Amino acid sequence: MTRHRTPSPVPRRMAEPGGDGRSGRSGRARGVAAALAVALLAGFVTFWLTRPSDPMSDVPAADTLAAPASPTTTTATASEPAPAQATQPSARPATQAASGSRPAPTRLTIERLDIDMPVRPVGVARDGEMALPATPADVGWYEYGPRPGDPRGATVLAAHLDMPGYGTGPIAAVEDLRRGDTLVVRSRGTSTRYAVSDVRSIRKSQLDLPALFARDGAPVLHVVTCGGTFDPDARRYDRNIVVTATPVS
Amino acid sequence: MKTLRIAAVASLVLAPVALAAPAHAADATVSILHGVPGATVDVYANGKALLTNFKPGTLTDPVMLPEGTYDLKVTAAGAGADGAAVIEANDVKVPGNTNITIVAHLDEGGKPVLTPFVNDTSAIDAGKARITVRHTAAAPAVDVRANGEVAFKDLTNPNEAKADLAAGTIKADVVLAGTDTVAIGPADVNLKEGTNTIVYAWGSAADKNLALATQVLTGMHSAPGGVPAGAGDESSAAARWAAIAGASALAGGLVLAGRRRTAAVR
Repeated sequence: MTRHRTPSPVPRRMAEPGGDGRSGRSGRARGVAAALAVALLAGFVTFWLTRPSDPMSDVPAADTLAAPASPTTTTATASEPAPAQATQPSARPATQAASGSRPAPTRLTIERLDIDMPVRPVGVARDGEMALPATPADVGWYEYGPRPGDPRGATVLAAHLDMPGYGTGPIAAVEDLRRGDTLVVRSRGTSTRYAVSDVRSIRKSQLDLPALFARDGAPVLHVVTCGGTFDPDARRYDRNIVVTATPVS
Repeated sequence: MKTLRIAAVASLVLAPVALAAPAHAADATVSILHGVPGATVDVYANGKALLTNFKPGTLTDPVMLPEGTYDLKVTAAGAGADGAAVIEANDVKVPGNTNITIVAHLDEGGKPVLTPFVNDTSAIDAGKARITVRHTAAAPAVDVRANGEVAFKDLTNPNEAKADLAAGTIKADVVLAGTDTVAIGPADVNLKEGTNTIVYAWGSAADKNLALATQVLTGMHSAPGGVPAGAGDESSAAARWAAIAGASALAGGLVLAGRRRTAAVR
């Protein structure tokens, strides 16, 4: 009845052995081999086409942090000694001074990139790395380091580039920052403006952490996220993107 | 011998003035804490006034002193270099490249003494703070408690104990060793990250003037071990693998279908 049957695997397979007797077996093998080869090729092409692009591919790679890296901060210089003078050292009551520190940052705004993210204080995770907020929507501020407006050291803000179930976070846009762009960090009752001086992609193994988290040296803002290639097994990117910005008076 | 001694005295006197420490000599960072109740004093080092009008419960800013041995003398305020010594300690060793607190305090029996403590200024892990407790009071052995739990047991005069803890504020008190009898406190102690907070118990139990003094050394902080600011995006990864599998299956299937149709036609 059906004069023209749509090709379906079943009749074809039946037809095959009945074909040319000599080439039947090897022909089928060749067919399977070809199919496999093409399948592999297609798989690879898809693999390649969908490979995770470096979200920060335009960011210059570097193995060092830009200046102003603090001059070797970590030698244990316990509380700076008063410069030796002819006068006596001054004495004060041996009580804990009330720490009159500046307010903690609460918001990061980068108008040109439409970034306006809440900032939350974070510390150190159990593994010794910087702790980060639970969502890429928030920025973490390293609460043990300097605050915006402090006269010395690096204020460090960091946000997740991405996260399963969330996708890519707003911080990913910092790859588009250019020298001179303005960042504003708001704290309770005040805000600090910064101008971008540098954007770098740095291999994590090469990152100068004491400089990134410097507590001495000229005041600077470091905005950090991840970049490079994601290792799904280690669940880590191999690079950090570090934006360096200096306060604008 | 005599010239050596004169040199030592001269360098002590001059160094604070012009940082004229000999090139080979390392400096020590020295603070002085007054923990003898009731006596305002003057402090002499090698016969030279180092501090005058020094009041109980006060701590000096740190000063740099060339390494060496010092003859220290504490007198009643205004008594002069030749005045009667309240405390005298000769040949007190001050090693170079150290951070030292010299404490004038009472020994367990209530006699004024000078004790130099070397402060631990080694690096502290990120997120942590060091606490050092020193027993410099005329009192028996004590336990020091943090948030109600015994943190340091059986501390005696003039000894210290220390630990690196998570940064933050603790409620500290001092109890007679092995008891719940509070001798001092409780007091809130803010352990700032990367610092060594040194808490002294001083005064006299008999005179009921036991108190806490606090000294904070900064600059021992470390950087965190990294910034793990990306966790990947599982949903897109799964979609990608599905796409790869799908493309493979489709391409392979097409080839097979093509071959079989050829075979069928033949």
